[in-house]
Amino acid sequence: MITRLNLVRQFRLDLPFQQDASGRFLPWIIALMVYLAAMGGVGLIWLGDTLSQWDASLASALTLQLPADTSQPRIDMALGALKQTKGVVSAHLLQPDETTKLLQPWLGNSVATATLPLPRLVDVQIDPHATIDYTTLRQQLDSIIPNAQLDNNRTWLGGVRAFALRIEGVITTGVIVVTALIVTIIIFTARIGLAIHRSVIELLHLLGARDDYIARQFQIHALSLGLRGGVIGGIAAALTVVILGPAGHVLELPVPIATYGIFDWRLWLLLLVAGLAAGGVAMATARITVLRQLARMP
Amino acid sequence: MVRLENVGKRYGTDAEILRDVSLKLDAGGFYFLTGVSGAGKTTLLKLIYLAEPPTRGLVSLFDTDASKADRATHTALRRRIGIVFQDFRLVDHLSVRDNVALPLRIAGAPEREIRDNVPELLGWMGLEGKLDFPPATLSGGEQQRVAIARAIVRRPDLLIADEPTGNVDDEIAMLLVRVFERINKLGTTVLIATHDVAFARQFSHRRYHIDRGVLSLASEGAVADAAPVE
Repeated sequence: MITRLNLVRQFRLDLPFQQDASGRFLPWIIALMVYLAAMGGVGLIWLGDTLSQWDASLASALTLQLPADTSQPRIDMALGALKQTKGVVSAHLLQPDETTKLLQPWLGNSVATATLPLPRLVDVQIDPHATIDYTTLRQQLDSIIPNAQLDNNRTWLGGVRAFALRIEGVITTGVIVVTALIVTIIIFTARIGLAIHRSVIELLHLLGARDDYIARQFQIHALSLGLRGGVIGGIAAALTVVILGPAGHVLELPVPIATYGIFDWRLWLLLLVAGLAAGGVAMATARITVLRQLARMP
Repeated sequence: MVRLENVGKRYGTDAEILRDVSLKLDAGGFYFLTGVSGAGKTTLLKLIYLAEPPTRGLVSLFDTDASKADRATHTALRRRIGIVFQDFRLVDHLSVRDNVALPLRIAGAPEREIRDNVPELLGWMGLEGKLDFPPATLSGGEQQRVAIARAIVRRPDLLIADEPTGNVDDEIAMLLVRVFERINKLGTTVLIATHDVAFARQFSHRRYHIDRGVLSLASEGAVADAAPVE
């Protein structure tokens, strides 16, 4: 009972915020910001997942490319050398029809691949935790088959990773900008609120209210608006992912969040954090702004 | 309790509204402050209830130099003062009950105390049927009683009323002063500002008069005031 009464007292607002226009438009603006931030967060998760998947699949695979005219004994020698290398799990020579199948997406079915001088490919599986001396291995293979190319995919993956990092930077900057916008909007709203309710604030001061008492009124109001905006923005972001998830599945995107959709716990954690953060940022901003402004009043 | 020495007040570069005002209010006293509109009554009251600082001079409340006090001390001093504003300054969106409870809530009083004391006080003021009404639905006289109830709910050491009899007829005005006298008997120092000199003369309380910012003692008064609060 006492707790309930204390709560009632905690949330009783002496200032007539319900008459302010800010209460009508601010939750929607915050909702838009939270939506953008949440989608940015989804994008970060998506990028991270994609990179991890590629990393995991490519870190344990090498490709050995041999000239088309390499003789079978030399191929066998190269396979033998690979299999004796520490850290190599298996080495599988792709048959011509397998190579043709790999090229089909680019060349189509109409091209007679048998007439093309296609290189022979060896799919090499390695232990991702093993340390392989690629320089020595390359020299060894080159001594068996001149012009053999061992590709460990690192160069390509490094480029992709650098690109992904840049995208992550852009998204993170976007989230920071959105947060800064929320802070700016709350600062202006709090200042407008102080101007609108100046007479009541003066009255509260004259009745013995501390700045903290008045600031609490503003911060509770801001928390309420921020959480309302956070919930609306969070639900909109969840709906977007729920709708896009099956689409990603149909398109066979290699994206876990698109595949798992609403069952991905990180999505819910992200939306919860985004919603709460909107309320928290709004509350803290309102408190600091109001306390600073009140300190200038007599 | 209240001591002003050589106080001056001006706004910007305008002429002084208060000039060399010196005033002393003793604990448990009952005082009138008279003067025509624009003489400086409200400005003087604002200095006493710390709404504004003086331009010069000393303002001391409860033995504390207010001009040198910090913000927290000002708040503590204000909590010992009850104010009945000329325009009542009731909060429109709060009920009569919550308006009167405001000083208690600000001071952090327990809800139980508020629940018990506020209706009792409003009953004493003849407003028992208006507890949950918004102030705007009350008559001017009722709003004034709500304002008085809010001013005394915390049993202040000093009660300041700015023109409380300005908008009521003589009979009601007389009743209001009787209410203030009862509050004074409980130990609260009372200062009533009014433009109606003839009305204030009907009572034998000490009376200060202000004319174009200059304060003077107009009447010593003859009624024995309440004993100072222990």
